[in-house]
Amino acid sequence: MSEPLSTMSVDNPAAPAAPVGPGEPSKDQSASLWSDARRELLRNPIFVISSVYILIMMSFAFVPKLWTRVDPQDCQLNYGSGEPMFTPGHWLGTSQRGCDYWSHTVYGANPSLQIALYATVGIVAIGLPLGVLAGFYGGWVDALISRLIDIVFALPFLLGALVILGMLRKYSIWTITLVLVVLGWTTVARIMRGSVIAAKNLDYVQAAKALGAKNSRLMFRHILPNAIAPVFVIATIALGGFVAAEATLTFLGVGLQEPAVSWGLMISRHDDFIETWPHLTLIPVTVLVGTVLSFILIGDALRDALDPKLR
Amino acid sequence: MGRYVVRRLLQFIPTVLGTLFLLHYLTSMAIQFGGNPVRSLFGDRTPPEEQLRQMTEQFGLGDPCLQQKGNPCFGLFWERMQDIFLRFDFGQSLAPRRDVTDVLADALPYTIKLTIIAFIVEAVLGLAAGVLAGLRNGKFSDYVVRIVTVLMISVPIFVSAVLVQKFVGVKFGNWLRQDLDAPEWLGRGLFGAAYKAEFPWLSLILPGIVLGMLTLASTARLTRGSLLENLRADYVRTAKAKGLTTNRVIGVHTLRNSLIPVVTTLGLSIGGYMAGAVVTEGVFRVPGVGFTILKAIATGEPMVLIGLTTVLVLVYLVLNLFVDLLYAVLDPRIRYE
Repeated sequence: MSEPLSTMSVDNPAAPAAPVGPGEPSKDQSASLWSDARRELLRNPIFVISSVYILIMMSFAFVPKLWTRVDPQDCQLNYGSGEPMFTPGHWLGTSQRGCDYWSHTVYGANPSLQIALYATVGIVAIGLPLGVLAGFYGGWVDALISRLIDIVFALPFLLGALVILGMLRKYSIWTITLVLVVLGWTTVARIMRGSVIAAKNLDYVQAAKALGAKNSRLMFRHILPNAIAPVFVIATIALGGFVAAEATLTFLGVGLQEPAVSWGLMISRHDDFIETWPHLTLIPVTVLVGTVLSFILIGDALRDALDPKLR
Repeated sequence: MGRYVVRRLLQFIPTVLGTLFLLHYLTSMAIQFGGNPVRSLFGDRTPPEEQLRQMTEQFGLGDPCLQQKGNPCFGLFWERMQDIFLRFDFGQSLAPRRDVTDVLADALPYTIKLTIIAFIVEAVLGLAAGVLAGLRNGKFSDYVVRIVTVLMISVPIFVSAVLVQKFVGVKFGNWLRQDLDAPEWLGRGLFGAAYKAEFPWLSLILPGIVLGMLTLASTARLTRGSLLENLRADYVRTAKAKGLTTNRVIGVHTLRNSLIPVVTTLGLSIGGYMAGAVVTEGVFRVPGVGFTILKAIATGEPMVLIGLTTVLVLVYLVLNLFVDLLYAVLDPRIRYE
């Protein structure tokens, strides 16, 4: 357990900042929600395994040199129809174009995870403030923001992305991220709005108000720390959703294009050879599904750990 | 009840207009930043300026606001709304010169059939799995359902479509066709790798199952959760205490109540099928709306793309409305909101 333990502290950046809760006396006895959650998460084997998997995928994406020294674009076209697995020098074989498949698998993580990270940061950056404003002020602010959420939510996510990218015809990490953010922020805003409405009528908030706290102080210091937990859950699951969405868009031809290296491209390039070379499809499918699955499992574990009622 | 329905209907109109405007704004921006989509019809060749201008005009993309980056093109939107709602005109396709409404009329039956199959698969299997897991909470079958549903949620639909097509349609199908000499309807229809016109329903079953799997897992999980919640409720304990049989307690009292939220997801999942249909129809070559959308992207037919998407979004909005109204009928607590 020592190895995952050491990695966890990096994985849970929210935890150290947590004891900001209202009326906290000291950090010894009454543990905060976040430190309770952290202790519970570390005891959850599913969470630990999924986190380790995600960390490995992150290192695939951002320090690929750690895993392979072969450049994915360094292909030997004279290999013809590709080398099988466990060829010397290419332990996962080569693609149809004679490129080292292990190096493609490692480098292929990069666009998926970059898009997923940027898009998740984007939907939180837009959805969180809008949700807080709508929930806190109510009235016409809420009406306005809620209608906006309804309108954006009514555009089916993948279909909308497909059409906009199909019209734009500029497929890069940034355009894909932008489209995913524009269509995807509503879930965060909805969750945040509900959560703020639930928190704002609690006694301690009323007490802070009675003491003369300003709106901004109420919102950010008192309500936000208590209402933000569901957003972490949603954001984690959204990371997995965006990885899947990027691969789907790429597969449909409106995502990344060759010569980019990505899991979605690896699948769409090789699914016709599945009878003769099944591993060329199954390898990218496995790492892709594993990533999406891990994000969802982490999100589920977070939800359980952050819900005090389940303890 | 009446007041709720009226309020919901009044809300519906601005939402439709707002959503269509958003779609219009986003696609206009895509044209403004991506360049004239008509140009891509010519591939590598540079079209003569006159011909390009003429074709752009025919597509209804000649409005100068489409060249000003960030311009929301209110005038164009107003014209389009009039075309759509007053004249039922969604524009024209160019490669074979046709009305988009005709293209839609050709493609729609396939997508409707596919949706019906997917919906049946989702409703039957999803509910059965959810009820089973809910009633056997903590037992083996509960764990199986929970693990399988998590796995299903994490497999993107294009992956399941490709895998099912290649392993069931091609590999298993080839074995049936060649080694077993299976009858036509079985080998080429039910287990075919692509849609075949001779088997209009049979060859849609495989893609339908793939499409249904998209939302099956969430339906099962929701059913399970809702059932568990209701089994703990006081009224169930009362029903048991007054001596009702287990069948009646579960079948009549608990199930009916726990299925209310499930009805909503079932209704909304049809909206999810619209994007999913693009993938399944593309992989299995079903000539439905989704396949037509993919083709329009590949050949660069902007009006087909915008027109079909507008129709799908309208269908989605109307479905949402129905689901909301149905919810009000099923759950009396909604009415006095």
